[in-house]
Amino acid sequence: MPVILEALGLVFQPSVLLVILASAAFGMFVGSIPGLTATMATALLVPITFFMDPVPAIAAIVTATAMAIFAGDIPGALLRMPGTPASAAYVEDAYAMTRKGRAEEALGAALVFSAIGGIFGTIVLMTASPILAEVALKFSSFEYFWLVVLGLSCAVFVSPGKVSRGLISLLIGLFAATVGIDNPAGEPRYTFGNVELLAGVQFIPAMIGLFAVSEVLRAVVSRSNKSFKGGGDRSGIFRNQWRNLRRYPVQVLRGSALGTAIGALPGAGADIAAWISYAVSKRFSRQKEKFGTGHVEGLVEAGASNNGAVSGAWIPALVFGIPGDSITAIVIGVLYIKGINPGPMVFINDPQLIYAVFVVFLLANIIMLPLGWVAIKAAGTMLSVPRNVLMPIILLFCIVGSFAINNTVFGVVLMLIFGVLGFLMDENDIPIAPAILGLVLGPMLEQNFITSMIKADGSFAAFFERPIAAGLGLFTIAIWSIPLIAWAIRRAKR
Amino acid sequence: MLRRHFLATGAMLVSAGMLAATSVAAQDYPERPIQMIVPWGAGGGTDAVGRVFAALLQDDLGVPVNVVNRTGGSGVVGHSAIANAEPDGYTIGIMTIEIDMMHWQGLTDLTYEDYDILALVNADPGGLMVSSDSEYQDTAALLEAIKAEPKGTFKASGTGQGGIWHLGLAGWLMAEGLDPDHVTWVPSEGAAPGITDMVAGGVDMVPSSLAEGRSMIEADRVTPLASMSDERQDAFPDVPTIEEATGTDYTHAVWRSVAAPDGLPDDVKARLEAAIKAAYESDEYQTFMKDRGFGLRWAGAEEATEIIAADDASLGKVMKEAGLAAE
Amino acid sequence: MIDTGAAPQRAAPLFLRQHGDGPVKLNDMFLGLLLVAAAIGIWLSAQNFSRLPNQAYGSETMPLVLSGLAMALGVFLIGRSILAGDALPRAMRPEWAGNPGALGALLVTLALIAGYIALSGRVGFVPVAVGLVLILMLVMQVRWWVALPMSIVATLVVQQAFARLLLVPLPRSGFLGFLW
Repeated sequence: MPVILEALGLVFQPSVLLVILASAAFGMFVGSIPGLTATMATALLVPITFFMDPVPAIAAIVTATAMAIFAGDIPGALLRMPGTPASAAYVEDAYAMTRKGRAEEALGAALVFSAIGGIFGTIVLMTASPILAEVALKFSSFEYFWLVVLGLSCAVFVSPGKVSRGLISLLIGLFAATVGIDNPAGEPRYTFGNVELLAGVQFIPAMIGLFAVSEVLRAVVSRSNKSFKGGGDRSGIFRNQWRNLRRYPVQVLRGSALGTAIGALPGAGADIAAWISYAVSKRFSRQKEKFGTGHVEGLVEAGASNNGAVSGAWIPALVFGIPGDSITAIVIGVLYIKGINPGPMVFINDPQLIYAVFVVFLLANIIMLPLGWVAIKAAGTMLSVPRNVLMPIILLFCIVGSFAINNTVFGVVLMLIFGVLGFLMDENDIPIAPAILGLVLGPMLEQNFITSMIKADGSFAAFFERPIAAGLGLFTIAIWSIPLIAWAIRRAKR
Repeated sequence: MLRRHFLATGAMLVSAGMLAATSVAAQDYPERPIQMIVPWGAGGGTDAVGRVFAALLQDDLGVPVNVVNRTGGSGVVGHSAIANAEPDGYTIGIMTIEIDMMHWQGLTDLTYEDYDILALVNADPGGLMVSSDSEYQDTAALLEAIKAEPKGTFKASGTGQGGIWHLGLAGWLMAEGLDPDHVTWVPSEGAAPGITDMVAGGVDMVPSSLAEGRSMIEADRVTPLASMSDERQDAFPDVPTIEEATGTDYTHAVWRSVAAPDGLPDDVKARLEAAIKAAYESDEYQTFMKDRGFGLRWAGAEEATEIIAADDASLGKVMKEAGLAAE
Repeated sequence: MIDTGAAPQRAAPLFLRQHGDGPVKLNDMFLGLLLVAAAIGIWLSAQNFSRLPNQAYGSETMPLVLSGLAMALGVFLIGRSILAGDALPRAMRPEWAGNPGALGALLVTLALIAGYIALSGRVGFVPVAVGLVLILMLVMQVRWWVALPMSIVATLVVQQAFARLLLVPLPRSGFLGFLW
């Protein structure tokens, strides 16, 4: 108990609280610009944290990232430009709600359930870190291979429209992911001697192209000058969230738990978590047909999952010093600078610091609610700007965002190519989201498959020899085969 | 009308830009922000070193020093970006040992000779680590088992195919009289995923620097067997060198250096070298490196160039013998 | 994940079922042929890639798997189209094709992005960005007295936010260096 009081004392100081507020505003700003990521917000904070004490330094990063990840949903919902691959999972639903004049409710749901998912993840972090970290350490390439296949399967099954077109989209994404030299054999593929292509297709410019630039191109050809909303948006940010919470309690819990668990795995993160949660939500929903048409249920579950995963990523980071994602990788560096060596010793040597981190987590997720409200209100005014004025400015943001991810104009080239591709896909009812997931998970799929085969000396059986791998593998196969078998049985009966 | 006007303005701007570029001479260097290109991702060790340096140089030079991550392509993209920048002192970068490897692999024509090397600021010896569950808890026993079993029985990981730790292991195996591929290399995206996979039972050993396994060593999940250095490391006084463990004289180390594109004006170069030396000697840098378990190593411009040239030759030799160089 | 649809007793597995009757520009036959062509192309390109030493797998594996998947899906779509009596590759006119100037506007937009790529490094971010936003607004029929101030203000806001606050090294123009 005295440890917790000491931790509270470390956090509840005017200077620390001020740092939290400032970095919250900063994170909100960075995250809401398409192309700027939570990782970038963290990296920008690092030099500033050099001059801070450990607690405010960690507080700044934790708060900024939590805000940035929520704020990535704002351009997703308003403009169909998801800020992260994770928010791409539910962007169709959120954008459809915006077009029905319910943008505030959609973003309110993203906000409230992000906060709930984040708080859930923090509570798990506080109570069950050591156990979950042990389980996470059992995951090797065999288990990750199945997890990736599971995530990709979900993307195909949940995408609206024909499954064959979802598969085409997935193949496009997986193929784009083969470009470059960062493959297990270290051999350049499809680079045509271009140095920039050695790095492969960066997913942020590709995502901006596929979602945002294709949307700009559609506005250009449709020649519509109207703003997005005719009348005012009266859906309210918080008004319907209590009802959503009472209507979907299982979904919220399931999303938070699954997200935290997947986030705790060092080799998987918020993107797979959001997709699997969205798919689970649709599978068990009583209103499956409404998914993708502006239905809030999937948004609730996947939104909670997304932020649960962000908290979950800290579990292996704090317990074993293993980064769960690029953000925790940076944070581990900052911890070392502050003389705190993450690992089991930190729980014994500096428990008050660890508890202070937990308190900051809770505070960040709570402060997100009022700040998110302000951000949503501010961003919402964008919707009343006529489209022919808004779209050129959005294109400028797209260009700068694509440039900023690696500070090269080659990002803009990728954005242009994928913008045209996304436009053509849209025109042909080929969903875009599976291509994004294919692009993000393609390298993981290949890496985990090839390294598994090397380790197993070429034996496929090895994918079922370890208990967790066998479970995940059988589950994945069942997802694909059960509908086929059921269909065959029904057919045979007739 | 408007469009034509725009074009005219554009042409004017082009010429103005060129004028400005030539008139920025070195007399008042530095007078605008400096870019520090890091060829590896945010969060890694090279990024951390780059960011500490950027913060310290910023204090000394009095202008912002902005870290720019140019990642991917096994480091080729970022190293090319440093080499292809204007040699005006406003673009510098962290150059890593991969510059001595990528041209042997046929990925680029760039070599260390395309840079003005300003200083070498860190060196980390390779190590040898196994899982705490491993039945081989010292180097001699592990080597005995590797020799006794057929080729390919043991697996190791820690970088991509042909990466620096792969070379370190291949070089050690050759020094012990084995084939460089007697232990199968399992490519990974870095030392941390390799170590995680080793603890999960996926591979048998990781030959990366011990600093990269530090938290897992402290958690008693990983046993450090040896250090590929002349002397024991300060941070790991109980870990013997390869020579102490097996009697074979073998060392392997990675370094990080600060470099600029070739052709820097002399006064700019002198100013930068002084600032880098001051940053290296600062308490902040020394404490940071010690806390993270990174090795401190200083070499000024000339000595650094010699070290990098020597490594270029020796790595080329190992890569050719191990079949990892392009024909 | 599995949509059981309205008529469960006749429902095929989701990926064998035909649904979504929206205006599709390329029919299944067309896409099937494209997939088969892509599969052959990827297969041919994969012949240049090698395996890891002493392994059956390497950088050729993933392209070969993708080629196989594309071939299977393409053959499936072609087969289903033939069974459904829709054996001709067809492409429908998109609905915007009737809008006057739509295609021209599309091409101008793409040219503007290409122009940014070509010029921004040499001329600098600010003049190129102002030009891009201004011309696109004019193409989208914004009045020039709105478009001109909007394009300048938007560019300056973006430049200040990204270059100053977020330290993104946007290309500078010599005489506008004071903005950075």
